[in-house]
Amino acid sequence: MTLLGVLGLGFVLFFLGLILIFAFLGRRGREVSLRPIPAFDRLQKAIGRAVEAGNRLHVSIGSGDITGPQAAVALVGLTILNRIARDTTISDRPPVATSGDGSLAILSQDVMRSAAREIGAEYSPFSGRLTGVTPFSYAAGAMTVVQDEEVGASILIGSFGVEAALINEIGERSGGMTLAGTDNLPGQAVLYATAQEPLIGEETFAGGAYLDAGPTHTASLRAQDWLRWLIIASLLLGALAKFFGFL
Amino acid sequence: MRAPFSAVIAISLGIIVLLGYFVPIGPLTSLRIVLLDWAVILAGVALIVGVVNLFYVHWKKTSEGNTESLYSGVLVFALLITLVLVGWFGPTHTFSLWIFNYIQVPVESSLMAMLAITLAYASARLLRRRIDLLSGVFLATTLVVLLATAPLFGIEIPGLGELRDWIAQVPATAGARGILLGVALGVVATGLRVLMGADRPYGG
Amino acid sequence: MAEVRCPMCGKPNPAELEECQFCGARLKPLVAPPSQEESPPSGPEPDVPAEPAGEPADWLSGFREEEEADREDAAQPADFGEEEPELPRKAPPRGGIQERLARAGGIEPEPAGESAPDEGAAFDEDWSVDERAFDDEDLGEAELPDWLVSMRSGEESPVEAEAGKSPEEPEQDEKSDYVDRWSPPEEEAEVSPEASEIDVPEWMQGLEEERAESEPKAGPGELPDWLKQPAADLPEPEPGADPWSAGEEQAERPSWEEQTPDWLADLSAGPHPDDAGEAGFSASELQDEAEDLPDWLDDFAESPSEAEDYFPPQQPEEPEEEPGLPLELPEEAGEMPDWLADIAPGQQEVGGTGPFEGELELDEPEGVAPFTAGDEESPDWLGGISEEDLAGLEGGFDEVPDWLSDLKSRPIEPEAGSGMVGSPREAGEGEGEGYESELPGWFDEETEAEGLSEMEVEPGLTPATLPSWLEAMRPVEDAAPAPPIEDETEDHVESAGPLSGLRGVLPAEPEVARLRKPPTYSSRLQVTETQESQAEILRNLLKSESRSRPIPTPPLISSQHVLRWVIAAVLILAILLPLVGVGGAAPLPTFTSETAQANRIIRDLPPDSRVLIGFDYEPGLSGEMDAVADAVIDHLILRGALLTLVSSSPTGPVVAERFMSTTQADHNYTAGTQYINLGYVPGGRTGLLSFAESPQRTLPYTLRGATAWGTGADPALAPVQGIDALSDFDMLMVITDNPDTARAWIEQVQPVLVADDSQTPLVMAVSAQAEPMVRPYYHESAGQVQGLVVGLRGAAAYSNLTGRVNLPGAYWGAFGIGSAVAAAVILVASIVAIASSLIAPRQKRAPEEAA
Repeated sequence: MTLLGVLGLGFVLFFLGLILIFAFLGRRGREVSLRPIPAFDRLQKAIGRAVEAGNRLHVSIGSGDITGPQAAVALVGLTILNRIARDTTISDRPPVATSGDGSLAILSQDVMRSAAREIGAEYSPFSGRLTGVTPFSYAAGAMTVVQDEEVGASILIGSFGVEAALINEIGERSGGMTLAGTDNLPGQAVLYATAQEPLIGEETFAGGAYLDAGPTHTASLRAQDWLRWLIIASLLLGALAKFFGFL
Repeated sequence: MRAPFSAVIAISLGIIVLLGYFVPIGPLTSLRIVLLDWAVILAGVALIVGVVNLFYVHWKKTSEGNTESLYSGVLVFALLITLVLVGWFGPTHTFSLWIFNYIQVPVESSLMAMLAITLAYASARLLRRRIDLLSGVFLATTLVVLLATAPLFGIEIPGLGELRDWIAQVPATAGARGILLGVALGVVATGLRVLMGADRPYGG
Repeated sequence: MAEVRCPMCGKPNPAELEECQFCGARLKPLVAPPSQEESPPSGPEPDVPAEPAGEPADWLSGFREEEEADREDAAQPADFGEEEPELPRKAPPRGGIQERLARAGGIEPEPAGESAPDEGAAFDEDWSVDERAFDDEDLGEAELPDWLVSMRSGEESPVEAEAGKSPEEPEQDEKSDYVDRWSPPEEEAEVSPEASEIDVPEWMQGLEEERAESEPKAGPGELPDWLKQPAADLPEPEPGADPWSAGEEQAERPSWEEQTPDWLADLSAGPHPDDAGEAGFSASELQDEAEDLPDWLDDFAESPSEAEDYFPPQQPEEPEEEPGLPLELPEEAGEMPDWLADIAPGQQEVGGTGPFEGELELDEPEGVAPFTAGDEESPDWLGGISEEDLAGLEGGFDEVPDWLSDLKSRPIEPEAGSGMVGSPREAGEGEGEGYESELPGWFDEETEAEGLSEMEVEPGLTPATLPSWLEAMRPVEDAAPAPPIEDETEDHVESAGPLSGLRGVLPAEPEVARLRKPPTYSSRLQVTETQESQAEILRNLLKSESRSRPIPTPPLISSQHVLRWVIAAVLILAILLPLVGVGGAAPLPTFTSETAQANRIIRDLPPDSRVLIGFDYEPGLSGEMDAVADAVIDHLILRGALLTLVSSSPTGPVVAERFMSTTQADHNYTAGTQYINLGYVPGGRTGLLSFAESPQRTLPYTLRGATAWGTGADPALAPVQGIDALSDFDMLMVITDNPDTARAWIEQVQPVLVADDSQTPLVMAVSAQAEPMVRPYYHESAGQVQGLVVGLRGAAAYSNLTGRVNLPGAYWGAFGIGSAVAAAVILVASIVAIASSLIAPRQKRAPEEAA
């Protein structure tokens, strides 16, 4: 076992321990105050408005590969999809999910089926769709969904490239709210310019905690904060050590 | 599959693959590779399932008889033709390349061109949407990079090229690294939540 | 062996037992040593067949007719307590009682002061009897023990003497053992030993003895001061020894008295016996005990005006109502019930020597009736009125005696006294018989408290209040006295049927059958104009809520559409300018270090070198990436490198085929010999890692289906000949637009290139959007990426190095003009946005300031 492997495994276990500790503290009633993120506040309102006004919500989980690192942000998108589906499936117009990967399409259907089963609503296999196998074909297919199915709000949480700007553009032209977050740097740049509520960096991964997906999400968010400060301290110490010739 | 069984299988296989990365034990590494190969195969099958879903959705839309059904009909027709030609002649056949060169590439390039106009339009309206420091920095950086990347008529503004390189190499890279660190933490957290069973994207 | 009957179950028990052997009830009550004022000795009082004073006339008339049966009825405890308040109003004294009591008790009827002690003792006895009687009430009539019945039989003599014997022998006949037991101790043994021995249980006898020992001997000289004073105030000494009337009180008082607090008992002890002597005794006793009474009661007694508010003032012109009857209703005085008519003859007989004999002889039933009625129910104090005073009445009521005159002069004192006594009863008066017998003990307190609260009206007095918890327990629905039902039958005049026109008959038609016009009420609200206007606003608001609003149709051409079309037109025109010769010949940019490093690596490749190329860009970005790829691959082909194409993107292999067949068509590179396309590596990063570790197993065939790596006799294709691992390639070039893909190649594949001390360089040709992610990996010597070509600018610079005119050079002029125009558009739009944001608030503020 290499040193890198030991460090990696230790980091993962330390991360796991932090999550468990914070989850335990959270179950004992210790409240955690999350800094306000306007995007999630608007998302909450959009969910309520969709249920009241009968608008359809469009959740896009990107075209990331489920076997790659993009799978993480795709899982976040599935979590948010699950949360939204639980709240809005019972409405007249259940949400629709689009994706650019076959695995994600199947997973989105599975999530929406389970949500419909839990609340006793009817599940439609058309609610989870694969709209294209390339980024631009996926964007083109998602654009037609946003425009033709009277979507009230588009939530883009997943691995997107610059093609996400097209989906946001069509969403804004149709008068709906657009919220987008991705792990792709070019995607974040264009989403900042085109989305009404962009999510930058790790804000995308905090969606579960802000949408009350469970105490584990809040615990993992606190663990991320701790480790972020740990990394910042390590970088500063490394820079100082390098500056003073220790490294 | 019932939730408890699917969750147990997902969590146990996830732990095996994770340990296979860090612990170089022969059987564990081999098991990890086998599992990843299965995942790749399943991802390919999932792609086929996704295409079938795409075809089914638009086939149903075709029967609705409205304006959108025409586009769905075109999609169904193109999908069937491409599937037959490429499946029959192969991806490197002239027919297949013709479809790709004269249909897919122009269409996607057009989308990219439209994206360029969209981004220009979005940047132009950015200050109408929100006027703040970050938006100003965003627009200033955009202007610097555009003007420095392709100087008009070859007339380079002194120092602008160096500023562009500095922006690309220092602030942009630093910001990108910072963002990537945060994203990496989020990725690890998401993976651990899946391993803990707190997140069950498999519908369990 | 003497037996004691259980007061609870009535069964005989041995005398020595203290508790009933059948029911466990205590046979010998625990009695504290009696005091003169508060704790009178208990005695055989329960044997007194007391009759309620206010009992309906039926039983009283029946009493005349059926004495024996009436005695049993009179023993019903429930009746006792109900009529008690009537005592002070209806029970004037009867003649002869005073003498009999004086003789029995050795007390001279005159002077008054001498009779007072005995009277006080009798009152005390009354209270104790009341308690006993109350206990019997609880038992109920059916549970009346035998011993009590037998004791009652022993009373027949005084009752008979009172009811039927000749008036010539009243003293002997009316002197009952009951009275004897109340006599002073020295005479008690002589007069009533038999009754005590026979009828009284032993424990009661013991109590009597204790009482006799502790009780002060009655005598003029032994009277306590507080008794002397009221006696002096009284016009007549009132021994109150009439056993019959005492029995009434015994039965009636406990209902409100037994559970009263001590202070209230003290208050009640004074006035209550004076139900009869309302004019003199109760008021005087109140005065005597003024020091012992609370202040508020003093005030109450001294303020007649306050009491008059509650009790109607007396009519001094009518002497028959005035003496001692402050609460007597005029109707009662004026109407002579039948039962009073029946009593009247008997009254004459019994009371021949009584003080009202002449009154009866005067044949004035209106005036006599209350007194006569009270004759049967008269309390003790009535017997204390002296004959002289009564004799003064014999002349009729025209002549008012002195003591009545005194009463006239002090009308409020008897009111106060009688009111205090009567009030508690008034609360329950008229509630029906058997009512109190079913009430719990606490309600007696409650009733008493209510009665007192009615009296406590004087300012400055603190009204008694029940504790909240007790108030909550109060069964209002059941226990609260219902309002008196007014008899409206007398006022009702029948209007239907054969009895039409008659008054006081039952209605022929039910009340609900009578049709009546419903009352009309004004439905118009009294609202002000402001309220009306506000209501109108609210009404309009509600109307607008329910009114469907037309959905505003967006205009076909909005400002956003115009702006979008304008930007698109400007950008397209700018790009088209080089076609007309404007800006097309822009000089290529100077190379940078990373571009030069990539050029040097390619330039240093040996002939027929094997180069692995990752072709990973999407068709949509082929406009940029084709130019980037053209710059470097053209150079590689010029160097004669054998190319192996692979892609981690599904569309990558086709893009590569297209690129080789279109962009590099001039080189006439042959697939399978000069280059091979291994196709798509599925699995993303995992697939890349697998490909890096074992390329032969991951991608064994080319895109055209040929075996790439060779098997057995079939040699491997030229581009991969001699390649067992990726490190055997001379160079790895990755062409991608995706930064993640670039990272995947760097992180998963690059480590394999440097394994086994191999130095296979990695050169990356990436899109401009991937530069921030890839550049950190670049370093000329120590980096993971040894050469870097970024975007169209890098490709143009690379072309500038190689001197080749290809796609980057062709795009460069249009790219420059388009970028400059785009920057100008963004700049102008931003300036306009900032200006409008600065102007708009001023315009918005201007009307407000003008206003």
